[in-house]
Amino acid sequence: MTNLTYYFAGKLVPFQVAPVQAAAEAVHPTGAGRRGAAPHGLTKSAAAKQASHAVAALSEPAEPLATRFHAINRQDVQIAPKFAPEVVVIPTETIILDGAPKAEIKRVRDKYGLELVAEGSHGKCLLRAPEGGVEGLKIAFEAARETYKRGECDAATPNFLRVQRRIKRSSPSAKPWNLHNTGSKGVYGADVHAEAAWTITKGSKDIRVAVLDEGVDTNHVALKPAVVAEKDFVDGHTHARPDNDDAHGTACAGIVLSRDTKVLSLGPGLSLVAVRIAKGDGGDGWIIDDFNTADAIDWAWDDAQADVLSNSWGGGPPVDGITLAFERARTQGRQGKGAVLVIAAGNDQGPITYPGTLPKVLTIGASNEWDERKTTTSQDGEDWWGSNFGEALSLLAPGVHIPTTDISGQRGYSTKNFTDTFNGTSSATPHVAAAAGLVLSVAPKLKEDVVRNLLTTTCDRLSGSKAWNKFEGHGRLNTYAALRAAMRA
Amino acid sequence: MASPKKPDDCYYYAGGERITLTPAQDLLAFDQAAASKGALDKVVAGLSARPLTSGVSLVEQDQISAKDRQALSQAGALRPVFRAADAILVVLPEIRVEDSRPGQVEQLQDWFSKHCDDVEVESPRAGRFTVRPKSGSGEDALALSNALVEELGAQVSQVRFVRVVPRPGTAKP
Repeated sequence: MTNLTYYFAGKLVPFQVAPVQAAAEAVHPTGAGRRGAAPHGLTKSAAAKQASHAVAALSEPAEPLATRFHAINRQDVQIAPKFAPEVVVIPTETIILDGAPKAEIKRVRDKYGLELVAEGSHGKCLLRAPEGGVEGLKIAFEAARETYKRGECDAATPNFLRVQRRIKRSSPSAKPWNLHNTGSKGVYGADVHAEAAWTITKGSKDIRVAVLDEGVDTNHVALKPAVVAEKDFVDGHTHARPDNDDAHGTACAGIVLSRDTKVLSLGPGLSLVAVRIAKGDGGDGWIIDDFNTADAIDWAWDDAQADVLSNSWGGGPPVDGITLAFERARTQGRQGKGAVLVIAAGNDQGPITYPGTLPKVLTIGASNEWDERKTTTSQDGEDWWGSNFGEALSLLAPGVHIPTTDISGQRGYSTKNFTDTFNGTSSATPHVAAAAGLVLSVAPKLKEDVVRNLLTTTCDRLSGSKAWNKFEGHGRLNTYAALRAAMRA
Repeated sequence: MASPKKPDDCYYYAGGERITLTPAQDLLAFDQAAASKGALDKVVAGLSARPLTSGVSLVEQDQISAKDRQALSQAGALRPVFRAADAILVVLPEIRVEDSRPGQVEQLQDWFSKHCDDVEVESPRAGRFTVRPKSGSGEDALALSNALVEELGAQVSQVRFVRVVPRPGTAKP
């Protein structure tokens, strides 16, 4: 063992080193009473591996290390074991002088036989002892101490190499692109900024999002804990679960508030009101009874006290019954503050379909991984559909390749409980519904028009657009920005 | 009551605007209960019909002979079928009327009283009425709904549609 000292902040600091043969033991002493995990969570094996790597790195140095040090003999490498839990500190035969006049540099070089290795910025220089190994360390430390004591420089310290443990990351992010786009497909940040939003809230259980659709699998393990109310306006069942392969509503609900730890949702803390208003006709059609749908809307905002109504449905001509029910929700819901109405624009790459044409609602188009408006020629590869557009368009949200919940078991879009191919403005709409729910989670007193305004004015503009336009609306949803704005509202 | 037999009668009102309806000549909708009441179960049982809601089914016109169609019509089992925008609309014999203006509400109530032989009226809430023609005819309901707007100036008079719209999913064709 070799004891060395140096000055730090005016005090003489002991620096104990150990030969490399004892590296693992030194990093993780295994004496009596020190069994089990190493301090600070560094296990013995990890410590040994870390020290070993550090030594290996010095034994076969890459540039610039190779030009800075004498040939490194593995047997001579020293390490400092107890400096910090995650760092292996290796002293070298070099020293750093800071703020030393040229005369002082010359003096110390002449006295100890030091070689000028490099001149850094702001008056720093790196000097090297004439030999390596333990003898070189002794020379370097002595030169540093003596120079510091003379007071002719600002600092004179041994030059340490620090081999720091790489911060261990979790396995590659499993977060879907719509919530956090890493750029592995598409453009980094072309997402709803969920991770940042979650630093503020993941949603309050007091905020209820109603999903009006062809039913929701309210027994789904990822949805059941969120269900606070459900009603079937199609067949009058006591639940709102779908028929056959009618999986659309289950997928929409999952985007809003799936509780699953892998198939994530934007608002996993929100509550679900499941409302069945449609059913498949066995082919490519959806059957909707206008009166029942109007009743469903009224039930959602009035009886079920929904704060947000997510509507991934539409088509056909307008009718006053549905329009008035929406208007009541918007003006009388939430004890007069108004329920937030979110409605899909449609998937024909044509004019927006009713009820997305209604005023004072959020009408939602679709974007893709490249932050493009979804069209038949956008880069996502889904060339069979495009997002509708028009004067009523409010904003876009992700609408391709969306992972979400599927009907439990064999039925639905897949034979599993989840799907990763959900798409359409149907999938974009629940993103915005969830965002509205998050906004109300942090600012429950906001009126619905304020929520609408927050969600649209905080959008990220898509490339090339500087203002609202009928193809992209105000841009792509940015949940984090909306939440920040909500907290200031 | 007048029934919309002519193409000019095929419309309804929404948002104060007249919405044109195009009769779906290729489709026919029938009410299962009305067909049963008319002892026409055998007629409809052989059809490849799509059940919608409220006991109504949709079928291709060419599946039904003229004779059977006539029988269903006489039994009051047929329902009008239209096309509008991208939807198929089937008219059910029910109307919802809403008006928030006190004087206008009274006028509507007077009208319903005078026509109590023709219509059944419920008022679940103030200013809101559910009206059903006693004929059970969808055509009568549509005509009545339009008349309430045109003759009485009802704020909202909406016949009940069952609509079939394209499924919103976008599965690859």
